[in-house]
Amino acid sequence: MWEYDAGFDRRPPTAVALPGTADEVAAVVRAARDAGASIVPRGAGTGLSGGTIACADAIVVSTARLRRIVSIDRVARVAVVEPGVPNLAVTAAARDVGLFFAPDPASQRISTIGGNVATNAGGPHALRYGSMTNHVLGVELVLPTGERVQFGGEVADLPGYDCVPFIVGSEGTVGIVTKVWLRLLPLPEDVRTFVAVFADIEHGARAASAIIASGVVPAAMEMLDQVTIGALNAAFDVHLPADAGSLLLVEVEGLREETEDWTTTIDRILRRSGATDVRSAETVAERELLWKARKLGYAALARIRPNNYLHDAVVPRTKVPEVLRAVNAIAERYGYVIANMFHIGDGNLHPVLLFDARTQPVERVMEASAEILKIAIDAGGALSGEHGIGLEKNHFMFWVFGPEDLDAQRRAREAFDPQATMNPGKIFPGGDACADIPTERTKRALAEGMWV
Amino acid sequence: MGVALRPDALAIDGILPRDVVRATSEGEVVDAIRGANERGEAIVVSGGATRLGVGEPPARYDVGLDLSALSGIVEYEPDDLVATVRAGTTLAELSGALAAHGQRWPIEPGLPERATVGGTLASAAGGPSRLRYFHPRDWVIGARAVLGDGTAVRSGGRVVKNVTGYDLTRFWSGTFGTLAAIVELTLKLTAIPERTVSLLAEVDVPAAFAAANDLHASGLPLDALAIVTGEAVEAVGARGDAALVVRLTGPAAAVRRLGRDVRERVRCRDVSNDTWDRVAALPLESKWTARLAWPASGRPDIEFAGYGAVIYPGDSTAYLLRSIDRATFRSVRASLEAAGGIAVLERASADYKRDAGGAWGTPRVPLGIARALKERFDPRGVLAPGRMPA
Repeated sequence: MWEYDAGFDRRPPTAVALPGTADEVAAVVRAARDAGASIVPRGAGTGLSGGTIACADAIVVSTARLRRIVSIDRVARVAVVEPGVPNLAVTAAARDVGLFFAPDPASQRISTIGGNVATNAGGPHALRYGSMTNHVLGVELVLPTGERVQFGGEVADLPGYDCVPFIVGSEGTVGIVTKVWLRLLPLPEDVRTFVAVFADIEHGARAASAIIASGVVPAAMEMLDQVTIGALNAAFDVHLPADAGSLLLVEVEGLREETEDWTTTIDRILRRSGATDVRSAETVAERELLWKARKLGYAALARIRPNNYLHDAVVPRTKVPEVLRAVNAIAERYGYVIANMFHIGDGNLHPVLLFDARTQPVERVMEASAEILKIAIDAGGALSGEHGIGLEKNHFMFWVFGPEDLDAQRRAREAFDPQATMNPGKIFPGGDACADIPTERTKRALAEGMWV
Repeated sequence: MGVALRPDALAIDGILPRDVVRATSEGEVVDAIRGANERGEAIVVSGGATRLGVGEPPARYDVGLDLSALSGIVEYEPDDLVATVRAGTTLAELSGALAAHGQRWPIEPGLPERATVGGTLASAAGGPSRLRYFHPRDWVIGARAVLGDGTAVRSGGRVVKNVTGYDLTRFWSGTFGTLAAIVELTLKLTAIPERTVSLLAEVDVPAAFAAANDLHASGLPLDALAIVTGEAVEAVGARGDAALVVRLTGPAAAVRRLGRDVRERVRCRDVSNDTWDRVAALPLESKWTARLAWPASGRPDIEFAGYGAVIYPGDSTAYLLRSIDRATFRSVRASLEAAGGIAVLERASADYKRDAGGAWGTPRVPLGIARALKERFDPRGVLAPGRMPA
């Protein structure tokens, strides 16, 4: 299990270390440094971009055993946790004192805070509350030298360069996180969840754009297309309208007076934008079932084809309707069944190409997916909203950044890890550390070949 | 348009630059920084110069690089709630452009006619908006910046969610122009709330803290919460030992309800929303300002009665506004630091800073990393050398 994550690639590490304390993490890092070995940090292995694949004969250092919730401070609204704590456990612990932790990636039952930090994880509610970067106040980090240091913490704007927003999203390339200070928020007084039904994707996408344009930003707004609806109905007892062309799953949170007001506004926009029906979740159980279906939905797609491949490119929200049209046209041209279930409110696409790896070559799916990435970048978007670049998209980085831009990123990395021993071969394009991964050549050829 | 600055407006702790360059384009910023590299000069980048004195006085100060004329909206797509602006754009100019579409950048650094977007991020400016909208860096999604060696680079993008490479945009936050000069920022925006109401209670200091703690603990979504004490009370149009100021925003019905909830806890009266401009400006206009911050569980044992201060209890932060003797300041700092807090001199003379043990106090970043960052982004040390711990 140490040789792969939730992506396609696999490669056995030279060794796996399972330290139980921050001191042990530091000792492992020092030992690796002395032996001249590079290191790949790993959480729960739910990553989708190959970020934890052990290139360059690296040692995998798992933080899964560092799973203490150190403290939950009700007054400060701060949780201090170790990196192996699963995301959902933070909110579960905070709920007792009337607080919650906002980032909620679909993997949240399993994925760890350490991994969430590494990928700047988001989730549906990132629409209103932002991603990990907006909720991490501080980190304790074991540097590649084995030194244990702290950046940030409960108190904001400490004297010195605040490296926290750089460490969040650095995908294990600058050190190993051994403790995290997280912002908690007061639980909202009221939550309303509803599902709007549309005849097709186009109308649903335009409605989502219209809601954002109105300035009323829901807590979450997800799109589910017809393929997804079918899969969810088959897997869960959700009874989504099977004949709908697309659905918007919308949630608003706040004071009762706020949710009332926002619901009215959103309902009006939805109907004006062609919603044929708007159904509210009447009970907590109904709401939880909707979210369970949404978050476990990718697994449900396996009923259609055994394998799937998805990118998580982001586009400006006004571009979502036209980009979705183009994305679906690509899938059709390649002959793949495509499922779209994604964070439409912040333009974060998740086009899932469904296929059967026994009969359909992975390389071709990658080609179709690269075309999708290209469409997103051409629309002014970014390669990844919350999954990370990892090994999967590193060669595509020059689609977005020029050589000087990438060099600036390298300078920051070198300040932490001058030998590039932490998670080699990830994020940056052009390197050879992962050259023996079978899909590596395919991705590199696509990145270089499609760039005109 | 930025407000034109006289050269003496760029003085730092009494030191004037030999030369002032007023850049109007990214190319001119590149030229100025390259020139400084060639001539071995030191540059201090400024926006509205509202927080120019924050930090240690630069070891050398040859050129003042004034970006206040590098202003204006580059691109604004209201339906995306995203705008790209030049770094020298003032908060007032930005507000004007966004208000036409019912939108705003919800960051409130004070003195909006002067404070610039770039300076607000570069100096990690605080203010009333921290309670609900947190840090300025939470509302930036992309940047263009010129590094210390004159290389112009881009980071982030125009999308609100992004993990495409390292987040240098937010990393520039709080670097005070010592690693790069920010020349353009892409901002995440929000809608102007339907209703905004401000309430003020004239109370004594203990009652102000008690009420603030009670309001914070209620979990009610307050938009801003401040306590003003001593001579600063008069400056916000109130009387007495302390004024508790609360701001409520949202749909009209929600604001009415919040107003009732607040009044149940503390007796207060309606005041103009402009009161917040005064609150935010006080730490920027005082001759001497120290920013204190502490872990929520350890509020410092300071007697605020009769002493001028702006306190943001929800953020465990206070701006002291009246100079105290240097020995007392050192002991306040020592006790705060011992408890995990900080005491930063934001406005004080070079002498005071030196005698008090420095502007920043004990650096809280591994110095090896700080130095390595400085060496890589500003290899010849031209950008405000010595201003930040490194």
